[in-house]
Amino acid sequence: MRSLGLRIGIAAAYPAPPPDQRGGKGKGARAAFQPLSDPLLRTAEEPGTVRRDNSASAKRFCTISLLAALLAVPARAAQVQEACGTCHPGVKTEYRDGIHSQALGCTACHGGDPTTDDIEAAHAPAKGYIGKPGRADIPALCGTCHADANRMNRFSLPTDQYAQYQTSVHGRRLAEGDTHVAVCTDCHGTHHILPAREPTSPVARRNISTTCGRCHADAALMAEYKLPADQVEKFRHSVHGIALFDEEHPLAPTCATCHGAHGAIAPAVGSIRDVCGHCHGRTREYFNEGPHRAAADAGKMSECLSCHAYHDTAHPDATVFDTTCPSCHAPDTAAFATAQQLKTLLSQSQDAVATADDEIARAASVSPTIARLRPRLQQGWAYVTEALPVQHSLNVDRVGDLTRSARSISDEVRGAVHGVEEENRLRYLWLAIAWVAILFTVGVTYAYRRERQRQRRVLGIRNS
Amino acid sequence: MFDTLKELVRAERGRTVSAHLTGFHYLGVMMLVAFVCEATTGILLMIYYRPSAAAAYHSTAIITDEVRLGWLVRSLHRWGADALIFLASMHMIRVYFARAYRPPRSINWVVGVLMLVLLLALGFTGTLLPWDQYAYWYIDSARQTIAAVPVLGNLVLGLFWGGWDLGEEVLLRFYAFHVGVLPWLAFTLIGVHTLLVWRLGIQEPAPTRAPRPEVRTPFFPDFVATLFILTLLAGGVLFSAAVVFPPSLFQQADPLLPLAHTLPRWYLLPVRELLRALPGGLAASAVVVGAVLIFLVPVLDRYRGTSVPRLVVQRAIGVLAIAAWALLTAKGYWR
Repeated sequence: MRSLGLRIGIAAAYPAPPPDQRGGKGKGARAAFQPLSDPLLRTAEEPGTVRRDNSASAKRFCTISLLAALLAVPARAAQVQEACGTCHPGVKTEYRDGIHSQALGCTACHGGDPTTDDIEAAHAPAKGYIGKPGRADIPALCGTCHADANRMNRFSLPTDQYAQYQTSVHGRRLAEGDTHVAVCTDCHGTHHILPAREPTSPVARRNISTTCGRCHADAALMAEYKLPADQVEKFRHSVHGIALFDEEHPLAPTCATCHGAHGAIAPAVGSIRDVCGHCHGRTREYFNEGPHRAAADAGKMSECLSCHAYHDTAHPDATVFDTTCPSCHAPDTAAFATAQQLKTLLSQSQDAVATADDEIARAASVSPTIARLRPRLQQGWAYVTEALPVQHSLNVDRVGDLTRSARSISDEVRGAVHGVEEENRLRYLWLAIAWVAILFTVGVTYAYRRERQRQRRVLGIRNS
Repeated sequence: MFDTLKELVRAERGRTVSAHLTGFHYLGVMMLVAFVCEATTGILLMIYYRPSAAAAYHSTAIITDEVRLGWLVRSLHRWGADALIFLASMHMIRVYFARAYRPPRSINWVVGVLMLVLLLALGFTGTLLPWDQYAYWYIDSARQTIAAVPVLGNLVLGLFWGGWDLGEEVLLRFYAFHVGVLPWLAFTLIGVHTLLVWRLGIQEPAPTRAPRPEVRTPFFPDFVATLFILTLLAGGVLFSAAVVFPPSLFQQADPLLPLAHTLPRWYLLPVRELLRALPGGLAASAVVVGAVLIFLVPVLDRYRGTSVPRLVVQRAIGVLAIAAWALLTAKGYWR
């Protein structure tokens, strides 16, 4: 009730301006989307706020400010008092569980008078009621708050989403009048908006590809834009999709990692290595050092995509050298020979370290402490891992140095493992030899002792 | 000086023992051999072992995996300790039932029981040294048990723990006791015990069917030959156990990752079972009282005769104690 009283008081102090003063054009007017009725969000700089210079108004402002300070209650409680839910219970329930219910009421987006149960009065255009916002107006409506640093500061949220959206393919097409493109609510939802950190949010990391796929996997819709509709499916089975969904890697990319979120755009040729380089920084550096960079700059190859594809990027292995290199380099060229050299070096080192890893696992069943060799082998893996990005420089000598170090460590570890295994085998042989020696010595000693006893008996009989 | 030595050797060459000795009469000498084995392997382990929380586990792993035959030395040391305690227990049982604790060998009984306590302490302190998970959590759980023992508990805790939590400081203390204090005390007591046995001779078996003719055999070489045979066979068993069942090394000790279940060494299983069966203070007191009674056996048994019916109580107590010990061990093992 305190909150309701506060609302009424503020509404009286700052009555909503008539529609003609809002600079809007009826139901879809952007300026009409100001959250006029929400005292907790209202600021002095808010567009649509009517400034009054007279002293009476100033006194009233001071009084109300004081009341607001004294009677301030949690914003969520304030929302419960709105009467909209009386007629829209489903929406109310949906909205109550969303993040916006913590700070906004229905009227922030829809306008109207939340204090009355009278349908006509609540939906009166005079009270700023605009109904369901049009798709074309939604980004600007959301931007009213989300582009306002004063409002977003308390939530530690960025304020550049709306600006980014306007530069995106979606935003540019919307500005051109295409309302089929994605707007804020397509990705974030409408009443039940959840922050990205919530696992069930449509913009949570694991859900982003599904959210994008609602449009981009729609073949009919994509046909209008001459875009393929299989990207989401391809991504799901790619190395990135596997890392995201199966391995739950915290740094696995989503659609937004490469395309941007609010500023979604297809990376242009020439910038692909930079986009991939967000995560594969070392690879980008070595790529730029190698001869492929000049080819890419000359437009002769599509940078990373030439060898690794996109959306369905597979886990790269030695077969890449056999499947992709020949598409540009003939088998009898020096470039192809270089590729084969790199393939050999990398395959040998990977196989060597993997074999050592397997042998440690095998020997661990006999000698548990053999696992102490793993840290040493990890150094071998580190050389292999370093060689993988370095190969993009196509510098055979450099890759050779790294892979040689990896193989050397692998040989060292395997030698130690073999030593332990050999000793395990020999110990039973030595045990058998030891028992033969023991039994032989025992037999000889026993015979000696028996002989002495016999001699003593004979001597005793003779003496007696 | 050489004349004295020659005289001594000549006198000892004439030493004889009863021809009716059984294998049990050789247990004490076999213990001596086992102790030498423990000392030798212990010194070899000391060459590579590093007594610090940071290096103890790693050095044990190196001994096990890298040092040539290091695993065998470690395994022999571990199984040798078990063998030593086993032989000591069997030796004590033999002495009890032979009533070899009676004067003039009373003092040797007390020295022998003290040696057994020292061997248990050596085994206990040695358990912590590998500094793996088992070692850490077994010793940590033993601390609570020791603390429950009245009077002696705090003394032992003060000696071995010194008021510290289980860590670097305690490891160093255990190491110091294991290699610098207890072995020398044991060595001294073994010297005294052996000297007394040498001077007083072996308690020879009483004739079961009187009269039995007095048959004696020379100590050298007959007794020694039999001892050699038994030692070789026991050594073969020890070597086999060391080769086939080398001691495991768990993960490095982690104070933040408790082991839910740590089985004590076999010789301490009955103590733990007793502590579980009886309320803490009572069980600990029972153990202490039991140990004191074992010390006082020569005083409690004042009968000097050999009449079997009059020895029923003494035999019954012995059998019951062994049965109870075996039962508690079995219960603890199969719990």
